[in-house]
Amino acid sequence: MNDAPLHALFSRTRGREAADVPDFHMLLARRRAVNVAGPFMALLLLALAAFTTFSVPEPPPPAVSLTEWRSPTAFLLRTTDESLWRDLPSLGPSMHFSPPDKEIP
Amino acid sequence: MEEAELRSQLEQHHPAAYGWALHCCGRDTVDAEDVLQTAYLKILSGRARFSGHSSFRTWLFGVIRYTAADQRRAWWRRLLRDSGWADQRQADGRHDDSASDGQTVKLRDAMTELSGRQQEVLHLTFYQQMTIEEAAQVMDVSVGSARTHYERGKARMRHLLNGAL
Repeated sequence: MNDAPLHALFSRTRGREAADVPDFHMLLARRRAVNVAGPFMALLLLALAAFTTFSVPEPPPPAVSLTEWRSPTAFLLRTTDESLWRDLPSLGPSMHFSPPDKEIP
Repeated sequence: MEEAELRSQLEQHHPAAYGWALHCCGRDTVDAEDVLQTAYLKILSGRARFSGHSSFRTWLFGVIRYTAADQRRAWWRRLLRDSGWADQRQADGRHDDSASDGQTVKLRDAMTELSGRQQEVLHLTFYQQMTIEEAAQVMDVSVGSARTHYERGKARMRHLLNGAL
């Protein structure tokens, strides 16, 4: 197959682009972009490592002896019958609930 | 190779190297210049050494290709660039529109329709006038693989540029 047209097209493109090639010496001498992210990430990792290594752990809560330990629901056990009776809602005068005077034959 | 000789070789291949860097950076002129400068400094500082197993040009193009890939992989750089925080040069017009006549635009548009490998091999063979063997060295693939990409890419280009050729 004839590649000449493709060669000609690429060659023309190359010729046009040649004018925009940056100068070799200028390119080498150009100050390189300051790499901000690299040192930033390194510092961040270092700080994280230092924090996890040197941070003082929070002291655990003082231990409670078994004899003093109380269940969080212990108050339920302290509820007496009396207090339960007091808490019952009133249903009306007590006579309505008293036993009948006469026994039904 | 002495530094003076390295400099001389780099200067000699500089226009072609810029074209290749531009291609590797998606025609972003700022990225291309950064990549090229980084590649040159790698070579001059000895971090990339020419062993003489290939021609200087194919080796240089390989260094540029790897440097551009490294730059693409730097996620934080992409993040900062996309956020527009670090790079104030964005406003300068980063994309190269130097050769924007009708046929060149068609050529560039057609190139974007090809796969990455096809674009690379066509750029190296047609634009840089390398052989397929040299292109394979730069692309770090086998000659057979490069040839396949070359044939498929060329056929696709012909199809896409049907009216322009």
